[in-house]
Amino acid sequence: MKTSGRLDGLLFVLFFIIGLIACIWYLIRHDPGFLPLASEHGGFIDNLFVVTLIITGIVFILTHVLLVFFTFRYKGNGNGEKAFWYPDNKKLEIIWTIVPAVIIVALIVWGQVGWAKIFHTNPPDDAFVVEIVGEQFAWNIRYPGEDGEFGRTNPELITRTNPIGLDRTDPAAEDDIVVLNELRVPLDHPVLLKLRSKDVIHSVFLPNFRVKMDAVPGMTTTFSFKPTVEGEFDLLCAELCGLGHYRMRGYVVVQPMEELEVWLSEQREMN
Amino acid sequence: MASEHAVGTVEHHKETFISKYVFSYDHKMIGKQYMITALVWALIGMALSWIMRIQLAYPAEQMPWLETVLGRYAEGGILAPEYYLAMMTMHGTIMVFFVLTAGLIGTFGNFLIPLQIGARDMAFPFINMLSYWTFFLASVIMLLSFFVESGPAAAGWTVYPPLSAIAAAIPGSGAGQTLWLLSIGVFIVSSLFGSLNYIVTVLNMRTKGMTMGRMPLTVWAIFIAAILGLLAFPVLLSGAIMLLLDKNLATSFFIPAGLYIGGELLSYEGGSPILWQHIFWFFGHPEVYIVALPALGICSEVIATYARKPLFGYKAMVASLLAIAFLSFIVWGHHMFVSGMNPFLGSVFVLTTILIAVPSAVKVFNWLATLWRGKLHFTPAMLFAIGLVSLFITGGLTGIFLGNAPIDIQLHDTYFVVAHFHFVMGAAALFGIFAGIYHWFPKMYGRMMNNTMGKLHFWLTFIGIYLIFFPMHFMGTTGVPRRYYAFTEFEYTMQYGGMNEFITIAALITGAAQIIFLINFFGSMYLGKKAERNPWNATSLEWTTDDPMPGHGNWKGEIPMVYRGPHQFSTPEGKEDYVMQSDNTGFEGLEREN
Amino acid sequence: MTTAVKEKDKKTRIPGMPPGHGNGDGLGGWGGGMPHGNSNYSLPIHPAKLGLWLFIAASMMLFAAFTSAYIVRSGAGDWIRFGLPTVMWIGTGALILSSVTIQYALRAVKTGKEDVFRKALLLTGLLAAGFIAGQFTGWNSLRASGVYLETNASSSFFYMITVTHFVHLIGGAIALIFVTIKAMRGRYNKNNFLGLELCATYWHFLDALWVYLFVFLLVV
Ligand code: HEM
Ligand SMILES: [Cu+2]
Ligand SMILES: [Cu+2]
Repeated sequence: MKTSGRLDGLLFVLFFIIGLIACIWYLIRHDPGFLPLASEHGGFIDNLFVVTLIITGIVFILTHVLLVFFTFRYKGNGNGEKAFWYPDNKKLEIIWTIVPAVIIVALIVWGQVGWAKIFHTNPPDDAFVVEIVGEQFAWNIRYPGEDGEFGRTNPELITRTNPIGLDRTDPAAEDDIVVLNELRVPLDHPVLLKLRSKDVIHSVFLPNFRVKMDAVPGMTTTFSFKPTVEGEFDLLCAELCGLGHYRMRGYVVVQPMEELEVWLSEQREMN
Repeated sequence: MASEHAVGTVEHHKETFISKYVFSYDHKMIGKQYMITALVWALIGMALSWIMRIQLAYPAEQMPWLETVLGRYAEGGILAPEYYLAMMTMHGTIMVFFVLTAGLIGTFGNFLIPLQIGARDMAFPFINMLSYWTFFLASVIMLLSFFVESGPAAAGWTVYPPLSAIAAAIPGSGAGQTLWLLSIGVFIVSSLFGSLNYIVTVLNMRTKGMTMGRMPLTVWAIFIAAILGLLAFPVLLSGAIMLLLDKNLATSFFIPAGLYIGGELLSYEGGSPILWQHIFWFFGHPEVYIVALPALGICSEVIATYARKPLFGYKAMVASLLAIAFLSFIVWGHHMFVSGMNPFLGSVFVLTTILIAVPSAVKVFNWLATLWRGKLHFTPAMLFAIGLVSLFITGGLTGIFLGNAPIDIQLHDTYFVVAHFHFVMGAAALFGIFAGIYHWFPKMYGRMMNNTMGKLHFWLTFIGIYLIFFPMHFMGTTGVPRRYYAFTEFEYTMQYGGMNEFITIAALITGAAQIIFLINFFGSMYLGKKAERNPWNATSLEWTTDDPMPGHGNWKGEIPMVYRGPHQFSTPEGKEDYVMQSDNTGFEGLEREN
Repeated sequence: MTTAVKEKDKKTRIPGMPPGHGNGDGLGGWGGGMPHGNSNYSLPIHPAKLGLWLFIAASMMLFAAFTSAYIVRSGAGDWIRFGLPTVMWIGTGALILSSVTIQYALRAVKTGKEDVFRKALLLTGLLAAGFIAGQFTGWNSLRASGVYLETNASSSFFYMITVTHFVHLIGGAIALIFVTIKAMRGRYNKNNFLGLELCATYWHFLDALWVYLFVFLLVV
């Protein structure tokens, strides 16, 4: 059995080199990396990502260099000539089991430090609390008002003008502010998001803040973070929720606490 | 038992067309039936991906021909969002269940296990036949759902309730979703029949000398995948039954109280959407390996054969398969880091998930060591196996990002995930199928496939896959969400307009390249060069059959005995560069006993 | 015989293997070295029995999933408990007894007491019919007292689990009828009772599964 293979070996080499160059060129030219960062914990996530990228990048290049080199170098002539007899080597195998294990465990231990900061630490008592109630296909954003408490809601009370079914007989509900698709949060101040849904599962995704958490009907989920950059950002839905999933657009506005309070009082008057 | 089968004569019942080609009991015919059915499904799945890709590249552009092709799905020449989601759901479902599960384990499990372990047929040929025809029934039901009024299921292949349970939430969750659940239910029964057969055959029907430790790696991989299937699919069945009841008989397993959908308050009580996710992914992650393991097994065997080297670290390869299989049952939560699941649980799942990377890494290094100082023969099968290694590395490494929970906060449900699973599960498993077909085609049809066309097919597909899916990593890193009908609503997703066009063109060309394969495949069945008995000078038992294309019963005479392990290439003492498992050199004195 | 082969094996061991490069015996793989006899190479269990046990394993996964979901779901706070009808206790007793009688039938056929065997088998059928009747009566009485499938998650689980068990049981009942017909025609004897044995194994499984489910539904 004869098989030509010079060309295949060469193509592997070329494809690998050209692909690598194209990748690097693209990264430099278009800089498609992360969106501008706007939260405190996001820095940790980005660092973890970059370090993982470097480590996996090295592994990727090393393994591919070997793969490509072997395919290029060890072409047989198909005449039944023997290859090198090398069925196993315990020492090598132990090494390449343990080394990846150690690297990987180091990565996740580091990752868990950040995970604990994000999820296992209680948000401070003075955190700015906002509730987001997802629905097909919009975000109802509720601020608790001066009393700092959300009023009762009841799905039976839902109407067009009362999208989350706020129970106005509850005193705590009196000063609640509900707006559509506009999430305003204070600069450099911890924020606690409380997420719910009226219908199906949605997912609040704030790409600039490295925040994502599902809004699940029947329960309340939370995510706390600290915005660090002033400005206007996107709020997207990241869990398939129906035909309008792709256009469930919201806005995030980060502004200093004083300005935000002014805005809130304006809203209260309008409500 | 083995003795009975070792010399047993083949039952000769009269073969009619029906008994030979339709309700055949012959494991080889059943394997081929699986293969052909899966190929048809692959074409449908690919066509669906084309429709999606065209929409993503040219959103809101009127294409009258689209209406001609798709009818009510694309009124006015624009694919409607609800039907984009339906195409996506059906694409994922078809690819995962019908192409990669049925197409891999169904084809090669049936065709190879008896041939490679030295048995005349599967343990239960009748159940085997039933297994194929229940799969066929599942296929028909799934196909029917394209024709119901409200369209096929559209809640994603993960069918998360409440979206999947309530017709008012999305049209596909009406009759389409019901048919989807029924089809999957029937498919589970089919897969159960298959798994039973594979496991019992491997444990009970091996020829003399074929210890577990001498089985070719393909058989090992299929055996382990079958165990996974046996234990994982019933869990999906439980979920499917509950979802069906929620959908159609108003129970509240998964659907909470107080839902307000389509302007109406629904009367469900206290169900838990997250419960579904736990059930689904408890099945879903092992499913990924039900798909992947047979491909990895085929890859190992093909690489050893065409590198003319013993598979490096055979024991470690088996051990890593077992480790992956075991771990796959305790990692499901990595799909749920931001689902509202308790973050402490998330920490546990991070650990188990990342552990799976270790046996995967071992596999890659062992493949590389097998290639080292080999005498490589670049057949299409070998190329696809090498390609698989590359794709598996790429997809495996991106898994290290996703498995580390903090990074997954940003990457979850973005195109990074789409890229990841298309590499590690989609393309890698597909390459396993291709490698297997090119390698075993001579045994299946007694003829050779065309080498040049095979290579062309490989290069177009391999490069194409990278062009389609690699750029998606960039999109995902930036935070472009998946399951989006269009990227027109946000500035930062719009910046990828050009890239999306590029991906679509690559997808169309790569898809078109599959025509080369189809021509080669069907053409070679009739026109290919007649194959020799052992065209690749391979070592396993299937290449010892008397005819290149064995009939029912596999061996005309006695089933060969096995004297040594698999993949014995270039042994120092062998005369040639391969020693077949049935080669009795050194054991000449040993007579068969019975 | 074994020792002879071992010696042979040692003698024919291929010389010149580089140390550390061999897989055990230098033949690749493991567990070889003794290409004689077949007890090593296949499990000492009939394939059909193994297949049945695997099917049982799969069914157990299904019910394990159901009962795990039950536990999770019952914590949701809207759970309403209801008592199981008395007739189900009677049915459970009948099913347990039927397990005993089918085992008795199996023992009888093994010892060649074909008369006893047929009677025990018929009795098993009768008891099975009793269990089936018990299930139907139980479901009916629950519905009469207003407990429907969709009444509460507890009743949803109850019906779903008991009906799924029932579907498994119908399979067992068909097998039992089949076996009984064959038994009446005298197809089983001391040396040939595989069908009966399989049927008995499955029947014990149905019985044990039901006892587990019944206790689970009562207690949890
Ligand atoms: C011909 C090459 C293929 C192309 C161009 C392609 C393209 C796509 C596209 C565009 C999506 C939708 C992504 C989204 O909207 O979020 C998708 C989803 C998916 N694809 Fe593929 N695909 C291909 C092959 C495969 C294969 C071989 C598999 C087998 C595993 C596969 C499995 C999936 C799955 C599971 C989904 C997710 C469906 C869901 O979100 O419910 N694809 N694919
Ligand atoms: Cu959404
Ligand atoms: Cu997974």
